[in-house]
Amino acid sequence: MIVDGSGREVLGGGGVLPVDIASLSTELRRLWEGASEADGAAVTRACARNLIALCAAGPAAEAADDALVAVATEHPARAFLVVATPGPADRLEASLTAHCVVRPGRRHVCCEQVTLAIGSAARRRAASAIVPLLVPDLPVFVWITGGVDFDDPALERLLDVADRLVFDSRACPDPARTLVDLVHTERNDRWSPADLEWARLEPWREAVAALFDEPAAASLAGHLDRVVVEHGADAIVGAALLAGWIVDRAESARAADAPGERARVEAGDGAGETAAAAVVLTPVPGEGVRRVGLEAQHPDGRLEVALAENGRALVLSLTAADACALPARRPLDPAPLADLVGRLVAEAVPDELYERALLRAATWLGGTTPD
Amino acid sequence: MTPAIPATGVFREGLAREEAPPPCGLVIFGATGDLARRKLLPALWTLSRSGLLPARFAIVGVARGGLDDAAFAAEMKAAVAEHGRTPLDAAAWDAFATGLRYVPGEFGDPATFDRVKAVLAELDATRGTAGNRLFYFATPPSFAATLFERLDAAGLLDEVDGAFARVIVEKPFGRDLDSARALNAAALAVADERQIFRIDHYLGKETVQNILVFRFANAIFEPLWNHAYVDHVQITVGESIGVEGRGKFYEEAGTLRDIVQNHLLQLVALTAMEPPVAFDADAVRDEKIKVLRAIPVPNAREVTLTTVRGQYDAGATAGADVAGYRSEPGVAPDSATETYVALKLSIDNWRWAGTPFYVRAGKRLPKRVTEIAITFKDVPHAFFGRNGGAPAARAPGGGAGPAANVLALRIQPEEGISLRFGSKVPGSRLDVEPVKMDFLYGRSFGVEPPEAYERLLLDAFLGDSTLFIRRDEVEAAWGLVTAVHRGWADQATPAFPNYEAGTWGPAAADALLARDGRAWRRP
Repeated sequence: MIVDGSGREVLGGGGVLPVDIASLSTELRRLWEGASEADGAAVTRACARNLIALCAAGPAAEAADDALVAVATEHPARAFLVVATPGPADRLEASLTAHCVVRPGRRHVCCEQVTLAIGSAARRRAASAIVPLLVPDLPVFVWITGGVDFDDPALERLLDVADRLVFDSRACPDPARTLVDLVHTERNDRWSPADLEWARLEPWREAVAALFDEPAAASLAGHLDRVVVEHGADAIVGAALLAGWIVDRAESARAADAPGERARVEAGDGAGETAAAAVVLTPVPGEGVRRVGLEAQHPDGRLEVALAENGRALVLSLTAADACALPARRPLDPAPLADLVGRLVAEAVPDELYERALLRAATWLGGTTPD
Repeated sequence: MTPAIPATGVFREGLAREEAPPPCGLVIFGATGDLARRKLLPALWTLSRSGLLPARFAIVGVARGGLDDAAFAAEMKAAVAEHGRTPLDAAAWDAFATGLRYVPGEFGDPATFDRVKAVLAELDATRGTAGNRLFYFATPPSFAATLFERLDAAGLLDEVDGAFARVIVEKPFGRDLDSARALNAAALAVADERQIFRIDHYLGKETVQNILVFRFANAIFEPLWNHAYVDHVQITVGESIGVEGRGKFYEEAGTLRDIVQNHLLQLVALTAMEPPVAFDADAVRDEKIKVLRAIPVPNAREVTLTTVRGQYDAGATAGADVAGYRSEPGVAPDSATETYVALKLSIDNWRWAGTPFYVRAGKRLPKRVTEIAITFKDVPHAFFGRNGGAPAARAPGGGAGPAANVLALRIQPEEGISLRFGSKVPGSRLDVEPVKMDFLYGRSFGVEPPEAYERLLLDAFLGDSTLFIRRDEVEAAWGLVTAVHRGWADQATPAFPNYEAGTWGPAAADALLARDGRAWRRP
């Protein structure tokens, strides 16, 4: 048995299997037949989605390769890794690998991966090689590890068949521009965007929700006057998304309290004002989101979630009438790339909460106007 | 006082945990026993590490032993280290252990409950548990009525200012219909049905819940799920182990009480029930009880014709010689206790009339397996060759032929679903060969499913009793089982032991199906 660096069995000879592009479909079938014969027993594989990663050569490709295999462990997939390589512009080479998670006595999840090394002029051809190999009736996730370029012919072609575009706003050269582009790009209800930064915010959203679980805080939800998010330079989008989500949720609470009232949103320089709350995004030293402070005046209350213990915990605090002492600490485990991607490919339906937060964030950061 | 409802506010929408359980103090009676050590504390620890426990939470252990808080915490830490599926983390355990308390005492002594009450009041003040209580009876069933009575006398079942007081009761709920009714009466004299959570951990298993998902989330199976298309249903709950040192307990229980009354009849109900109008406690349980009520209670003659009991003799399982039941510690040398039961059940309703459900459960069978197998009828007109489903291929007397479609839902181990169907054998003839299409959970989802107790404890915190047993279900199941016991009492005891350990049960069980032209599956 040949095992990769993460302890997964590698089928198909223990390495990449160079394949003629025209024969990819045949070779995929042969790969599994060969694995069964070598093993002496049938190899069972499961597939619940198609995953396509677009990345540059080098460390980005290595990270994406590792992440794809790990993601497929929990989300069985046919995976494609499209690596933009330096060198001949018309280069288009394919290789195949298959991985199985091995647990005592048996293989659990097996997935197959097609890796395409492509030159700058072969991007559209690469997409044309992938599309017929997509497993029918299963959702298609396109993951871009670098900046999102909607003029990229490969991306353009793949988005025709995609259900979700996964990207990382932190990796975009101009994240605010990317958010605005996302808001304005015609999607025709085909695909929806998903930002790794949104997945990184999950512990923060859980912590804020935990604060509002407290009965003493529940009545403050519809009465927030001020939302402050402190963030490192890398997390301006994260801060805006988090603030956008809080304001959106606060408006929902307000609407529940007073049906018919709709919030007013105004653009500002890194901040916005709504009928529900003023939003302040404050850059501070460090990385990522650092602190969220929420204030309400009528009724009076303050809530806070702050990073602590060198980023290993979130500390919650609540000051309000009748507030009990809170279990104040929530562990914050760093989320590996594969976990973040895995959360965003768990389902293909649009994440309406994210999209509403995106709209607000794009408004605040890019000056666009929401519909 | 804090509302006892789960937090489901707008900020929870879209998060992994859309409902947050309210603050709660959990009191475990029998806290140093096997169940608490092997299942409950490890489950609570995993829930804690997953962030799924209520935000303000504490555990009070109650048992006879003279421990103090620190000694109890140390015992529980050792139990979690030994039995937990989530690794122990020293710092996190220390934080968890600050919410552990221990109250020594007898369950019949009112002073014990005064001490429990005082500790709960202290926890309300110091840990904000808000007056919400969940009592877990991890005790022998004989204590249940006393515990209900004492809790009530201490005022601990009162729900004041919106706080909740719930009780989880472990199976068995009684040992026959009369005792089950008496226990229910004792419980309902002091608590409302919605406060009582009767636990059968089988219902917490992912694959048991998936029976409903499989049936009601897929449009292709339900139209076939009836007497018009299904020839018969077989449900097997097999264990390869013996009584494992529980001989004394098993002498009192037997397989009919231990497995059939609860696990097996629950599987029958989930397999046969109509679609509920919603996945909520009343809707699901309303449909299950209709199935249990549609199973005719057998008279003595019917018991003779439709039931088989067995007891294992010495034999071999998994390559090792094993002793017979009567040689197990705590078992009488002339024991008449059954370690195997097979029943032919009919469900007299519109959907299932005429379709038998054959169920069996036993110890020291060749393997540990729980499965539900739906055998479909043969095609009405077969014109292919060998194995083509022609009536000539059927067993004498009726039943589906060897090429009949079989849909098997495997509950454990190797959880999954398989479908047997006919396929053309390559060649110039139109011969048909049965082939099997398998779906295995473990190979499709790389994550470990939660333990049954994790799911059920979380549901109890949230007040969701969908996966717990209602009073009427308990009594309907006992009504059936008690009738079988009475029928057996009127018969001569079979010549026990009557099956060899490591085999699929007594010959009479094979004859039960052979009379209908059918045979047991080899799971």
